[in-house]
Amino acid sequence: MEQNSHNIQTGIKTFELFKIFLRSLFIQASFTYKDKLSVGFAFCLIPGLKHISNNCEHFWQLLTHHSCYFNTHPYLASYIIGAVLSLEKRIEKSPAEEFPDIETVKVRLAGALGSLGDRLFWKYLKPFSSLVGLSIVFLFYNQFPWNWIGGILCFLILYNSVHLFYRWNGIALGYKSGQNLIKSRTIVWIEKINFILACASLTVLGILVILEGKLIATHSYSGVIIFITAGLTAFFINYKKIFPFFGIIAGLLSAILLFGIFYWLGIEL
Amino acid sequence: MIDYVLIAIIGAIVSMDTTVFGQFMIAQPLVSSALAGIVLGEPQSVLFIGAIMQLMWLKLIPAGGAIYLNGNLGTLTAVALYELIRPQFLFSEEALLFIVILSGIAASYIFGYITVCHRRINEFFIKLAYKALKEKRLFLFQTVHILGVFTAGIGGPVCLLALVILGKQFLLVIPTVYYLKIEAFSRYGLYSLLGVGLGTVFSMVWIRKGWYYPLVGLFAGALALFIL
Repeated sequence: MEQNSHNIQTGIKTFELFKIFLRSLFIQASFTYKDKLSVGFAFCLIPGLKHISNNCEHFWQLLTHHSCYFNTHPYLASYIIGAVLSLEKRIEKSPAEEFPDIETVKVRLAGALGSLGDRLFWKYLKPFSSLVGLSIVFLFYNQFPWNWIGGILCFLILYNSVHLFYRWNGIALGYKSGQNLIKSRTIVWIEKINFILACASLTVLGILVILEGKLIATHSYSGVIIFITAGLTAFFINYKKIFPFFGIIAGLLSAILLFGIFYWLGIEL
Repeated sequence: MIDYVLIAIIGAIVSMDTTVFGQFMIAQPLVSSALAGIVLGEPQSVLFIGAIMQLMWLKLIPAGGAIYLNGNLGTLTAVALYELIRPQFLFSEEALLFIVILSGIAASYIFGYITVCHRRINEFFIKLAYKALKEKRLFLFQTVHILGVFTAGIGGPVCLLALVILGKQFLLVIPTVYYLKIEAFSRYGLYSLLGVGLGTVFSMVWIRKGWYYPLVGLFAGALALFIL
């Protein structure tokens, strides 16, 4: 640890930031409902803290300090990792200067990034990339297995390019900007990206409805009516945020009901 | 026997990717069903299970303290059941697909509680990590954290295998009269599940400002079909 003391002036090297990036992939390994990402966050900081700390005692002090309760979006946690390392380094470099309280910065960033990350990755990016993948699958339905390979690759590339960009950029940018990272373009633009992704998802959904509808219509037209009815039922149930499982049950019930009516009326199924 | 081993290996990958390591989306139904289908020998039909489950579980958000319904392992249960029951199944493929997808949905709820159990086990690891921190044992601190990946990688497939074995026994002992009853509806059941999936995603990404985008999509889809 002593040998690290001279490195404080030089800053953390890219290779070490890369090691932190790799560790950030494991950030959720010991996730609990009580402490959330606490130990995972400290686990990611270790290479950086080794670099920053003056001596062994200081290292353990920092590690203990950063092992307490912490919760945010796991991908965007990398921004906070970078910012914390940046602040710790600056405090170490010039102890006489006044710096914002790291814990306060952590808590504020965690709240904001947690909400932004959930919306960007879970609410918009995952559905969008899945829908694009599924559209490729259904558009080239007769070209099995190439349609599936293309669809899956498209899904994985679309999602992971953004996912890995934010993970790596978070550490690099967070380390560079410190607590000011919230003003960076990659963060500020998230809400704009969300809107674009939502519009794009709605468009792809429209395409998917046509593709699936056409596939069903090749077997039976009454199937298309059942498909649309079940979809609309699930939409309204889920939109009103009633118990999640109820969307599936209600969709199936509406299909059974319609099937029964067709059967009773003697319509060709 | 080899089938069960392969299911367990894929289960371990899916279980780890779902919440503990990376989240590269390999665990998503679309990908994992293809993987399982290739390994178990019948890729084309099981991909239909993947497509339905992918749409249906897209709204699941593995965030914070929420009980995360594990649709990924649920999909794998459905795929495994399909592959294992198919040789002995006396009715149509649609009936089997419909039954295994319903089983997969039910399994997703069970796996949700298994994720809760995993996180409770992690509380024990966290205590160990804090102890290691007090004793200043860095290796132990890091090992204990990484152990969470292994418990997910072992616990997930064990529960998956248990559910698959139980599910197979259960589905094969159901009297044929019940299968006869759902036989006619099963194809429409699959269509309705596809519809439910699309409706669920629609409710998730819906924004008032973008009300006309689905119409643009409908037009684009029709144009694409016309061209192709």
